[in-house]
Amino acid sequence: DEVVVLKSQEQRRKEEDDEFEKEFSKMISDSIDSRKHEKKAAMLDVPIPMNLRGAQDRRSREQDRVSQTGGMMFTLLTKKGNRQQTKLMEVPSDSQLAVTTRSKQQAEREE
Amino acid sequence: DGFGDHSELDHSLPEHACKYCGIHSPASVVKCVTCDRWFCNSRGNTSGSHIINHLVRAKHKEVMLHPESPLGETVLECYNCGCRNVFLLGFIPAKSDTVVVLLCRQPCAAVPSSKDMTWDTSQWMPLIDDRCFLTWLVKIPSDQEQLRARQITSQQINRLEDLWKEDKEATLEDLDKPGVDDEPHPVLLRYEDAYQYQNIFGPLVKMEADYDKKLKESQTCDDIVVRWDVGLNQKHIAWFYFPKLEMGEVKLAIGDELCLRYRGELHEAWEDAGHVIKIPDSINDEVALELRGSRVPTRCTHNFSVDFVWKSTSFDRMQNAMRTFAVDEKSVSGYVYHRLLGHDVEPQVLKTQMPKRFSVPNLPELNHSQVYAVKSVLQKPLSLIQGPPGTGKTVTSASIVYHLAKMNAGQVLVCAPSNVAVDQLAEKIHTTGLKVVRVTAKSREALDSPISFLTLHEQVSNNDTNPELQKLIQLKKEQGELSAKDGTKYHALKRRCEKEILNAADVICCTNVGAGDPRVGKLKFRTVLIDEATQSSEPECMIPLVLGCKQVILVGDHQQLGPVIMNKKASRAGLCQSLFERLVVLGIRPIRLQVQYRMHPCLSEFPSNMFYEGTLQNGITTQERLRKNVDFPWPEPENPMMFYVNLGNEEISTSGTSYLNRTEATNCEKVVTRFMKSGIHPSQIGVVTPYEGQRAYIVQYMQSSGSMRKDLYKDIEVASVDAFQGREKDYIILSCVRSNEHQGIGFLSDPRRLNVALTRAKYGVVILGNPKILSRHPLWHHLLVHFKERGCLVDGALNNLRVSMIQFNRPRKSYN
Ligand SMILES: [Zn+2]
Ligand SMILES: [Zn+2]
Ligand SMILES: [Zn+2]
Repeated sequence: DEVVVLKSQEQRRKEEDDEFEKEFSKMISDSIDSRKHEKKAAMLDVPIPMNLRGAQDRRSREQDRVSQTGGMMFTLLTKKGNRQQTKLMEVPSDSQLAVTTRSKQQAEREE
Repeated sequence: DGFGDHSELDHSLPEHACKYCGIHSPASVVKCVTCDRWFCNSRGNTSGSHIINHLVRAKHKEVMLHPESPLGETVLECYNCGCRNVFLLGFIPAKSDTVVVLLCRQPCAAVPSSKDMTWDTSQWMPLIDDRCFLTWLVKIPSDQEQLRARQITSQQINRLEDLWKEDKEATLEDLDKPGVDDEPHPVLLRYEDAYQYQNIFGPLVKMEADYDKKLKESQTCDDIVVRWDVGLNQKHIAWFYFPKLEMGEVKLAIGDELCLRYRGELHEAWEDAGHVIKIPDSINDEVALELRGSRVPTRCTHNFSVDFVWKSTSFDRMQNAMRTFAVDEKSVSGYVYHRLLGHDVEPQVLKTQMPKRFSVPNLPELNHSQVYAVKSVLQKPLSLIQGPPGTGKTVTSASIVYHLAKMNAGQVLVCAPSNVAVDQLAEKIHTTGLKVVRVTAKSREALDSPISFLTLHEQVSNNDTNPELQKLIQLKKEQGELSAKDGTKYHALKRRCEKEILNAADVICCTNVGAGDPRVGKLKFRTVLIDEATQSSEPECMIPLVLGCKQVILVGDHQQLGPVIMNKKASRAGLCQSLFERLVVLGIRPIRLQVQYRMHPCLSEFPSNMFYEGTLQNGITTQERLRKNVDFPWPEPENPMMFYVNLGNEEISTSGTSYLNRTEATNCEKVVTRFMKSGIHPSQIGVVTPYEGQRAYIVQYMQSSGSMRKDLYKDIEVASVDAFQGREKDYIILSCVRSNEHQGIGFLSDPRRLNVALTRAKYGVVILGNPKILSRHPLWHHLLVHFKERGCLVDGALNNLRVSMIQFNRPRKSYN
């Protein structure tokens, strides 16, 4: 006749989720904390390779940069050892990155 | 169970299959570089994606993309400094090209955008969004893949991660092996005897104690800057800001012991312990620590550290009480013994003379349900009284204590879990003319309180029956310390004086834990009343009960917040259930106080229906709770309540361990300002928010951006739901904070917490929240419908509110 009063599965799951959420936030804050004393560089040293600079003909290039699935193509700069590498990356057109980039380009065209 | 079906599949899975769910399409998985395991970017049925679950739980931070993924084998790192901590990484676009680069948030992306021609650092966006890698970087597996995958719960993930710490090769199947998961024995409804009771609760209390100890002792905080001060009692006081508190991991209470250490070069190494006499509030964010010793390096201000000093006192007293309950036949009467253990016994009536009148001197006349409650408990050996918000619980308790003291020989012991509650009740009982002694912990003797004159130590120092003791007290005050001989004499005389005062008392008041203090614990109490009994754990309630009780009255409300248990396992095993609740489950019907005098009737309607089967009656009329001349845009002026739609995003607070919501904070300030402009005193406005991050943000935001004088905002109390329990304000603003698609609503999903939040206000309630998110939760869905049906769901600017047309989501079945 032992009646056990236990929390329901849902309650337990909710607790686990809350716990995880807290742990996650702590990872972020600890990460930021750990770099608090890192010296701030006055300048970034990340040049864009000449061939990627889009001054020449922006309008035609823009079209190239829309993929078949409607995403927007970006070039990601990476480093291998000391060598700069570039990788093509498709970003959905409704992502924040694509939206801000488009509106920036729009603004520039209107200037 | 059920993993058996998949084990065959497992063997054929490639190396890069998600260790949780088996998904293995190269575009959807990443490798944890630290432990060489692969995980996918789907959430399954958890609140973060599998890879994020792993990184967080294992405290790993570096990952690599699959060689066959669109970007090819890539270790994610900061282009500028090489940092590989994914919790710090994010993309930055070029100012004028469709080129992006990964940079760490601190320090590389912290360079102002204006300083760099090429990159727009102001557009930094984190790699991890909503606890999932950006889905265009690591693809979400298709629905079909997800359906086929192993369904793993967050509990299983947790246990698997724990297993990996001991056995690197462990798999999900190992979770089902015996002995892996050692959950403690859960509490029961009925116990064979007090030994079984002790055997079950003892380990739970120990788990909680161990957890508390570990937590407190890990809280060393360095780089503390101290400001020195001297108190009225000539003791040194250190003031400092204690950043750990904001993280919400450790709760600091007045009376807690901290150790302050100096490790700088301007003075020799020094340390001293002391008691906290002030904790951060809306006026001042500092902690004040009263130090014991007199030699203090007051010249130094920097390079201090603070440690918590863990005290086992309260846990020891719980264990002692359970031991006493088991071995000492006289600890409680036979009847109470069996009832506490859940045995069926013949009802018993105590033979005493009932009073003719139930209202008592100097307290308000009792209403019918209060009279009924008083009448029913006086001759019963065990009773429960449920006091919903605003129903006059304290007056009822004080009236009961008055009669019990008059009807029976010996003193009545009155306890509650918190000092605040004990003080309140002690004061009310004193009003009736009874002789009350309030026993406080030694660490709280220096604190000023409105009922200081009732405390045992004050009564000792004010006594005029013993000139010799008086002389020694005077001497001690003047000299600070006594000679060894005088000291011994002083202590003996003091003890005798304490005994005399306690013996002459009608009522002794202390916290539950205080009942284990030798000064109280050596006495016998036939009659015990415990207030706020639903906020104490069972073992805590046992401390005052095992001092010989024959008659017990537990007062509380199991529809409001329960005891706070820190250790999840102990809590799950049932330590979070109060004795009151267990007795209710055992079939003891609590006597419910039914007339509420606090809330405008429109405010009590929802809580009454939802939490009290509609039985709450209003002892107050609409007219009495309407404020004329208050110019506030209530959508229905007769019903001063509204749900103000706020769709702003939640974010993680600067401490990283809590949440805040800027839109709600902005609107909160506007609502507060509007109230104050129409003449409402700031002390009568309360802001309730479940998150420490939002509390801190609102306090700071109102003071920096509020349109009225800064110091007015300082008088507005901004606190958690828990801090408002047992209290009231004229107007309450509730800022819900949570606003995201994939997660629960955290603290807000506890119905008891919602009940407390909704029942603090007398004249009006404003709720700020996102109905889209909140409506997914069944209880909140009800609440939203309630506001909507009354035309009180609004959006727009505060000076131009419109009835909101927002559509609710259908509530999910599970409470998430
Ligand atoms: Zn997975
Ligand atoms: Zn790992
Ligand atoms: Zn960096």
